[in-house]
Amino acid sequence: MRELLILGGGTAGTMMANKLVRALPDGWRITVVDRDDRHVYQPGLLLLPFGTYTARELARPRGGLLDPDVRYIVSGIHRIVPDERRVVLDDDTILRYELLILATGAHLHPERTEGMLGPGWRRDVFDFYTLEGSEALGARLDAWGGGRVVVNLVDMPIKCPVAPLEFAFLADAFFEERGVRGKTEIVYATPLDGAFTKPVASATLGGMLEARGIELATEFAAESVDGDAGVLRSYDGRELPFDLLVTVPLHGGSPAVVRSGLGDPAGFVPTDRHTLLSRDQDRIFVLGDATDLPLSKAGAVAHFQGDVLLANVLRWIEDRPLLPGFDGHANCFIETGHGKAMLIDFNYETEPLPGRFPLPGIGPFTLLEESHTNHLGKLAFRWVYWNVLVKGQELPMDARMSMAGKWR
Amino acid sequence: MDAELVARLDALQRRLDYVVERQRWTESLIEEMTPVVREALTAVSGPLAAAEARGWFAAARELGGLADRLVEAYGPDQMHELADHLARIFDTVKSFTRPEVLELAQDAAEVLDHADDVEPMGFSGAIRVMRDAEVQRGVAVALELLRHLGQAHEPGPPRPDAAPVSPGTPPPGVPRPVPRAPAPASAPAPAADEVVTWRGHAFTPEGFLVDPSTWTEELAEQVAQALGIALTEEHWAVLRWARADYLDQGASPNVRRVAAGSQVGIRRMYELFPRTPGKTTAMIAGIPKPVGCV
Repeated sequence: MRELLILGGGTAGTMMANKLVRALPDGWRITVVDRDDRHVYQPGLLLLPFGTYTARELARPRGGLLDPDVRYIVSGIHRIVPDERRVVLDDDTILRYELLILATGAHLHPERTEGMLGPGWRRDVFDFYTLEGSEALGARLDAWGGGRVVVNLVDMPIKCPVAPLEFAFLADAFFEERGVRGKTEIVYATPLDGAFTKPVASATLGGMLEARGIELATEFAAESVDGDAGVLRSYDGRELPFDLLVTVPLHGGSPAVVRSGLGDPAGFVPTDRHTLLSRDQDRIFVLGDATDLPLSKAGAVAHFQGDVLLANVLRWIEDRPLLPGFDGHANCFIETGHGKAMLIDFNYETEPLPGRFPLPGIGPFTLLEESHTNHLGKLAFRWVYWNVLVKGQELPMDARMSMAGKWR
Repeated sequence: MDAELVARLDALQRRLDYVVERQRWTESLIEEMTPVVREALTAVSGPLAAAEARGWFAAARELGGLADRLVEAYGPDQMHELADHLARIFDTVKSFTRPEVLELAQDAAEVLDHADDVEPMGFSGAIRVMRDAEVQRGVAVALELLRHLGQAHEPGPPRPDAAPVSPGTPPPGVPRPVPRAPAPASAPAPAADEVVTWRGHAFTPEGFLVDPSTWTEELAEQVAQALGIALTEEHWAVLRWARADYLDQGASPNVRRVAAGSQVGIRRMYELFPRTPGKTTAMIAGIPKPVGCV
């Protein structure tokens, strides 16, 4: 048996295992390793605190999402030893591989911001990037009577870069519907110099914050949290008082990647941006959030990368040159509250532009513009996620970004 | 025999599993989509009802009836001709709605409004008025127009091209629809990024070097000085790391990455490059503005 080992059973790893099991020639076995057996539908974590979903609806056993022909091992990963082509698990089990795919994702590090885990954590200070955090935040919002809310992302990169903005929009709508918006201040504090990174989208989204009376604090590099006093401090000495801090903690690569010396300073794996092969190891491909690529850390990216990776794994096995196929394509729905959402679609070269998607002029989705249809699209996406995307089924869409329907 | 039976049962089992899986797939699709479809229908009903109330659908039915009558009355060739006529009518309307023509029409209307005030004019009066240059031009245009009216009604041999699509050589001086190049499909490209030249180098308006390959250490000293920073060896270690990282990654590192990579720590970065250390580092190191990855 020739061994193809996939570390990580999240969106990227699960999808890839299911794609590969149908495509690999006979004689190959696929093994997926993850530290637990709970696959969380992460896009739902944003909506969970506002009562759209319950926690139970957002998690499924990882094993059940994998093809029965994929071997699944539940274990932490201790170390990857590329020179010996083996992976050591937490219980010292050794897995040998001929080809390795790192889909180890991005990990949250609230402990790296001073005081974040101190008094106030999950009382006045919440993350919504974990099922537990999101659920706890929901309870806090449910009992909200007014005060000052600070939404902060500590630093880029983060998973789903628009999520904190969406949270601010949704909170604004939620408080309004509850009749407490008048008694609530919302501040959006970002280390970027605008609402978002790409100019056109940043201007649109910045205007939307203003229209909703959400205060924007830019170039705010969060240094520490004082949970008792309710203050968020930045490195340049600014202070933002809060009654409720909704934070997106620092992200980093997998601890196993870091222990194995395969990561950059943040723990992400240096990856060729077009072939997805590791830049240091010729038997390791990297997929999804684990890469160091200048891309959104998002399931959509992993999905679009998946098609390119599938082709390249097969080429690698047949000893043919790899295809430089990945164009940095990503898209995402941006929830804006009151049952509306925007959609953005972009890649390495093209920033998010207005227009219609996927059919030019028709849509039905509107790019960089709010609509109810987009929101319905986002709701419908959960089924697509569980049943098509992570199952590695084909979506009726090309992996490469198209300029059709986009307006410059 | 047993082995064969087991194999067949096994195959059957797989088949069953597959069918059950597909069924679960469909059930969850229906379950998940029902509320979404319900919401979509509710959302669509409002605008549709409003459109109906305003008579859109009745009008559409009438248009349908019109289309029916057209199809019954005309053959394909005639339809083609009709389309050509329609195109010509639209062209004419377009040329009549040009601002100068509309202005002329408005002037004429005003003149007619005040026709009561105009004194009857004899031949000598007409001669007197003819000295006015504007009147002379007007008469010339009017005569030209009259000549074309005459040409159009000349009972001579039929014109070679009966089809009205190509109206032959245009008579000079008469307004007629001018075929225009279609408007460019895309709006003009966004204005090219402005560039500011400083000490012989091109910078973006924000102060980032446009072409990182033109960077020199002297330029770094000059930029730092302009920003009020005296470069020390500690600064240089940071700048070199940031530049190397940019060249390696193709993207400028943000402050946290520089702080980790060059091992100075974020707090120290704020002391070395006050206020906006990420951007300031990039400015001095001659690399693009760091943007968090999307």
